Amino acid sequence: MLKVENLQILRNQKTIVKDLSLELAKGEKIAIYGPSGCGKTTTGQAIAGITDAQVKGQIWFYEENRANDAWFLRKHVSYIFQENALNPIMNIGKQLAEVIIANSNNIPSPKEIQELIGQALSEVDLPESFARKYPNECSGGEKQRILTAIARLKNSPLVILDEPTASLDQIRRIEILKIFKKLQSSLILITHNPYDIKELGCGKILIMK
Amino acid sequence: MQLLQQQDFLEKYLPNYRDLHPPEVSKSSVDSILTLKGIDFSYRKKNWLGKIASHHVLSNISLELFPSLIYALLGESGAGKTTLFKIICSCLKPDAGDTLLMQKDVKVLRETGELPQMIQIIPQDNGLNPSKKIYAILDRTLKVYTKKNFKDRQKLILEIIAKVGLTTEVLEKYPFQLSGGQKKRIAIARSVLAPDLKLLVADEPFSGLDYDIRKGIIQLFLELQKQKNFALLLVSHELDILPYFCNEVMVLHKGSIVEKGKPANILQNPQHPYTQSLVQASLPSLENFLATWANSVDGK
Repeated sequence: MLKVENLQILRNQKTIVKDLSLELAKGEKIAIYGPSGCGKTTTGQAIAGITDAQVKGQIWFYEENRANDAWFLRKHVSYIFQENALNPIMNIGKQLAEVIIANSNNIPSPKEIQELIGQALSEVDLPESFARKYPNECSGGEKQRILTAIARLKNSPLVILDEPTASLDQIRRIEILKIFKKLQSSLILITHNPYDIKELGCGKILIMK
Repeated sequence: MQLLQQQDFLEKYLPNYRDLHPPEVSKSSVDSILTLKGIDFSYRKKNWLGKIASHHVLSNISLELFPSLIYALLGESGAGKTTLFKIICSCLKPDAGDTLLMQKDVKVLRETGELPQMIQIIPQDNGLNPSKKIYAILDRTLKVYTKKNFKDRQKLILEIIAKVGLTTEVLEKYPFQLSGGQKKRIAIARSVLAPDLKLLVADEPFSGLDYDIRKGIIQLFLELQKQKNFALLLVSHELDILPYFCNEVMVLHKGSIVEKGKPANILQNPQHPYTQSLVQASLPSLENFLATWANSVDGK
């Protein structure tokens, strides 16, 4: 499904990532492991098309080179940030509704949207009342679950998880990893915690230095 | 860059703490360093109507800490860990109960100015002054605690920097130029500079650090403890490392200590529901420890 060849990332004429190649089948889980500062996050962001750095090389998505087509990548790849990327002045329900509307051909009626939001929240083990909350009222783990719900609503074939468990305690960590396990799409896990890789069951691990 | 299969990766990169051992318990009777007797505490606040609302935080906490041992305090946020620290440092006055440090009341020690030399705290964010260079930060500590001249202070700083495994280049840098592990080492160095250190309290010392760096920090703690004989109280959630080097684990839940004992016993047989869920959650990373523990018991 995804194939990355000879990826090179430059920032201010400095090479951050060199000669990175990767192949990912549908539903496969892969991990990128390395110490902080080795360019893990930049690689993930380049694949998701949300980096400001200069990207050279090929990113094949369904047999087509999409390296220069950032909009395509942004639409098809969900990125779950280390620090949360929810809109602070919109409640959760509105943010989920925006995703639903943007991803459907015919705009659904408000009642349908409400049902879909309830469904999406229950899939990530959150009560429906969360739709009325604002991001600052949610804890770190809850915000990450909401981002997972958004990834599900987007139906994106590839989800990139950027250090999803960095700021969580042991109990919340296991809970959130269980939810990630339920995702149908392919996963790229960026982490420096080897236990996360073990628990999520990633088949291949790319070591970066 | 390297692509590994899961099995190879886990063999190579799963952290291995088996060579860490807790400090040995000396059999001769030693006086305790810190004694808490029946501490009760609640926060009182006047609301806008002028009514006093009280929020109960700690109830009937008693504990004893002995020199050159390592204690771990587990508890979720809101369990009252920070409040307990503040009471130990006599920043807060408990409603009931006594805090004794070396058999003396903490309040008296505070008035005579001995307290900061005996108890040191490493905050979670290291608490290094962002506008001062590292040398100035360490020098300031020595100026406060001792009356040594410039040359002696310089000598001490160079010594401690070598002891915590850093080079002298660090001294000319600002805290933001250092990595997380280096900052933690500086914070430890500063706390150990206190001349009469009896108790070191570290709040979440391993959060935000890589697994191999964590091991280095633990080894540093163990080494310093051998030389200075202070008691170490850690607050942490990392149940995968703690059992390897702690002498005693205490579990704080909703303001009271619900479980206390040797880490192996608590992990094998957790009594309180909160401890049970905590152990359940960290089971995959504890497999190693439980296996080695079972082996050592069989061997005896």
